[in-house]
Amino acid sequence: MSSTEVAWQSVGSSVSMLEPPDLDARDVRMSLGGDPDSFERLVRRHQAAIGRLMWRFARNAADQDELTQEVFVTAWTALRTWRGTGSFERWLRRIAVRVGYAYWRRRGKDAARLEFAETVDELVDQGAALVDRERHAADDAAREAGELVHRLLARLSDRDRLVLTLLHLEGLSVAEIGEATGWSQSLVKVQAHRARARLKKLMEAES
Amino acid sequence: MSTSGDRLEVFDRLAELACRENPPLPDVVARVRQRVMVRCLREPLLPRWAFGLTGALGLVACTCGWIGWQAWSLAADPLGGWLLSTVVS
Repeated sequence: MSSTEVAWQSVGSSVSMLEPPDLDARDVRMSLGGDPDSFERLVRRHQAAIGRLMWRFARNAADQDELTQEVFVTAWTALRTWRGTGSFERWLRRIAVRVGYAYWRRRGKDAARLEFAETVDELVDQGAALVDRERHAADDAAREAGELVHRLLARLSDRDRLVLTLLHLEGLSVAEIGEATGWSQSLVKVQAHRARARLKKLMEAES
Repeated sequence: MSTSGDRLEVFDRLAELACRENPPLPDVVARVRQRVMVRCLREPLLPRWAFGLTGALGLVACTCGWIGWQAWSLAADPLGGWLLSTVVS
């Protein structure tokens, strides 16, 4: 069940005529007016989507939880800056990308390298074997693939890692990535192209 | 196992598979509420500019008071006021 559906059911019949974006706008207004329950409803409605995105950055439940909290606390402090014209979920996603990116920068690339001791070669071989393997349950295969991709991308710079994560794992369009990162669409395209080239080079260098 | 040419293709297929991953979903409602409440308590009652204004007015008041005191002491005892007596002399 998606977060939107959960929200749809949880808000009760009195507001059932409102579409989710309208619910967001109403809850933001009420929250700015000093009603703490309305911000709680916003968190409840969007925490699944934000939690999913934060998993791409953290890949461990403790950090994912912490980052998700950070996104909502940041959103709360900046609530007045949401203009109400765009989608609240996209506004949250923009904050989430900044929080996730800052997390990567705090941890540093070297920490990620030390954490993952295996070579790119080993990762690619594991990945190729996984893709070919049929005996895995779909969920297990997806989780393992997510882990391998995460370990591969940890070898790239934070910018390359970010654009490839949003493009390939989150499935965002160039326009959506531009909106989430604050980059122009042409910069997103150039960054994605260069990131793929660097990934290819990295994978070939260790073969 | 895989040649260098198809390595990027392996990445693409892995990424495609990883898209279907169901990560654990956090429940942060209670913690966010707690952190927001702590922020509310820490938030000052006056806006930041009010602190600057109060400070500036305080400084002006102190300066005026000190000048007044010097003027009064000069009037009472022409040799007593330290700065003004120095300036006048």
